[in-house]
Amino acid sequence: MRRPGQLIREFFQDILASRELAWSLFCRDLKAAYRQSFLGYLWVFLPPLFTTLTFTFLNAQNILSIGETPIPYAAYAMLGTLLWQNFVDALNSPIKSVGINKAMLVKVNFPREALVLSGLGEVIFNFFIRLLLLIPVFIIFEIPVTASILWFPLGFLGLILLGLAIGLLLTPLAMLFGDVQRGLGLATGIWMLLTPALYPLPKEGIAATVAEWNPVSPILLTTRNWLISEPTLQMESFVIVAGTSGILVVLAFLFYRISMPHLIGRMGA
Amino acid sequence: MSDVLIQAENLGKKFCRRLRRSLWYGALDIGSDLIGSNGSKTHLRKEEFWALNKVSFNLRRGECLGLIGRNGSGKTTLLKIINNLMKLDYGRLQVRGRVGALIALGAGFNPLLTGRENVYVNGAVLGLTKKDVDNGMEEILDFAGIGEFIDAPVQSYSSGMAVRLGFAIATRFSPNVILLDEVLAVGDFGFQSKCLARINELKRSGVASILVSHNMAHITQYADRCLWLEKGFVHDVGETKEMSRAYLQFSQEQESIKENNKQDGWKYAFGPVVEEHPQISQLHVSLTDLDGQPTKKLSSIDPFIIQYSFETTNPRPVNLTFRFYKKDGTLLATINNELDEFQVQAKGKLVEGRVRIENFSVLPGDYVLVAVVQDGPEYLHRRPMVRFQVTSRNQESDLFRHGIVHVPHQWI
Repeated sequence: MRRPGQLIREFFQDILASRELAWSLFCRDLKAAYRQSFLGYLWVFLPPLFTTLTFTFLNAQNILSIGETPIPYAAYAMLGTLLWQNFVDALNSPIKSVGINKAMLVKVNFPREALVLSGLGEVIFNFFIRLLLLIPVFIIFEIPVTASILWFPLGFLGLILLGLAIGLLLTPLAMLFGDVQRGLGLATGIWMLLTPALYPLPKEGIAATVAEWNPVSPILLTTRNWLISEPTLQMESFVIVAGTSGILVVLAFLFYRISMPHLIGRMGA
Repeated sequence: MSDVLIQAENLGKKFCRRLRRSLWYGALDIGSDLIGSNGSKTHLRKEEFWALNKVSFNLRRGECLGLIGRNGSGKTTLLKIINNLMKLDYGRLQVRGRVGALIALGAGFNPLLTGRENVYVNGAVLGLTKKDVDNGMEEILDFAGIGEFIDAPVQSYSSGMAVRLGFAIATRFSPNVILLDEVLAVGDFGFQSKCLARINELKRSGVASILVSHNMAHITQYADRCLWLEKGFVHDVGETKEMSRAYLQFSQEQESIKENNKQDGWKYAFGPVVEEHPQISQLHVSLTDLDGQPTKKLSSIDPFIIQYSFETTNPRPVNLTFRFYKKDGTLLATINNELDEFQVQAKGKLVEGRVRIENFSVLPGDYVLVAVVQDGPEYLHRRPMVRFQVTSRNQESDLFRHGIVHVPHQWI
């Protein structure tokens, strides 16, 4: 950290240099992931689909009372879980990617950034697959499509940046201690329920306070509202969170870069 | 000076014995790196030790440096540091040019993908572009020699096949320095010689290399100079011939110290041991020269005598065997009186006699003579009796003789 200018310049050089490797690793993981599976790409959207079905069922049976949603609840919940899933994928991807390639990391010297990029590639790929699920949802529930949907990529970017920033900051710690990855599975499960993904923004009570301080909620809600052409009420928070995430991603990348050599030495062969 | 590709000055690296503490130190190191402090890198913290300490050397173009030293002396750590996989705790290391490591052959191979698909991925990991791999594919396939398996998933490969493919890819990429860590220990003989030929070819083209091997034959064959590490320190550095001789002598001394420390240990390396049997007592076996002088140093061309004596209360004819072993436990020869149709006579309880050996044609080294007295399949006595050494006239060249037997020969 003594020469930040040089560090940042080298970092961008390495990002550029690792494009081809990242692509190669991405293709490898993609091919391998579905070669030993019957359902293949279906696995990308089975989890959000079933979460939605469960909640729709619970809501319909009045076990849960979600309240009014601007579009039919099933569609609303589906959009929410899909967006949430992107965030979690982005959060988990660097940890997962580094974990899978641990053996290679300790033995071969290659730009470490490539692992993060290839993981990110997978997140984006999965997102496009899930988009296919959205199309029938829009048709079945007759959700109107307006120009505000054009803002959607921005929202998607915000989710990815936020997830990636948190994930990258945790990666070095996760390499040292197995507790991180276990804890993360638990934490994201609870976090989802505390995020207005399966329900609209709570208006009062503790839930409202939690949602207010939850960085995911402005991004997720704004993005969902863009998709379904509802007015976006949290633009200010969206800009703050997305902007901060963008800066954090760069810092987290530098942190990752500085800590990797230390960690690899400690991990041994 | 431009000829020097690696210049290492006073390198130091510390390790921690306990994993948890090591991880914690790792976290602390990251922290101090973040705030830009240098910390106290030259001091050992609790449970730490020096894996490398004050190591200096340099490596020139086209030169091959052998790293020798016992397990845990820091050889692999040094390679990892040169390959930039580990951070130094102190010292300065300058490496000019690309470093290619033939250490983790086939790292990053995905078992579900085919060999061909993995070639591209592995190539990319090593810094080759897709075009490089496309251009070299034929050569890679040719070198790996795994035939149509190239389109089968790597999980169906034998470990040797995976290594061959890995080696073929790794040597495609043209490094300035190559690091070789026991790569030659795997693969069948044909492939080994192919690898060595390829390494030689690279060396002639000016590539510098560092070779780690416990096989001294490979070291003496390929290394120009050797760096001998001992507990992280440079014990010595110099010409290969000189270094490997000193190293072998040192290892033997260490070994004999160890053997003396556990006198009993060594005798179990040569099959079952039976020492106490009511029917046999006072067994003595010794080696002598033709004049009857006891000796423990033989030459592979001169005759010698095995002298034996023991007392027995067993009424049946004596069945006596001498078994010759190499120090590592390899059985070399057996001599048995019944097979030779020779009756060993007992005078009362006492049995004694001699066997004349015309020549014990083995290569110089350490050997063991085991005496066996049997009654049918039952051992009445069986244990190593004599440890002896075979030497040649020219000890200088002993180092370079490989194999087991000495074939009497003449150059004409």
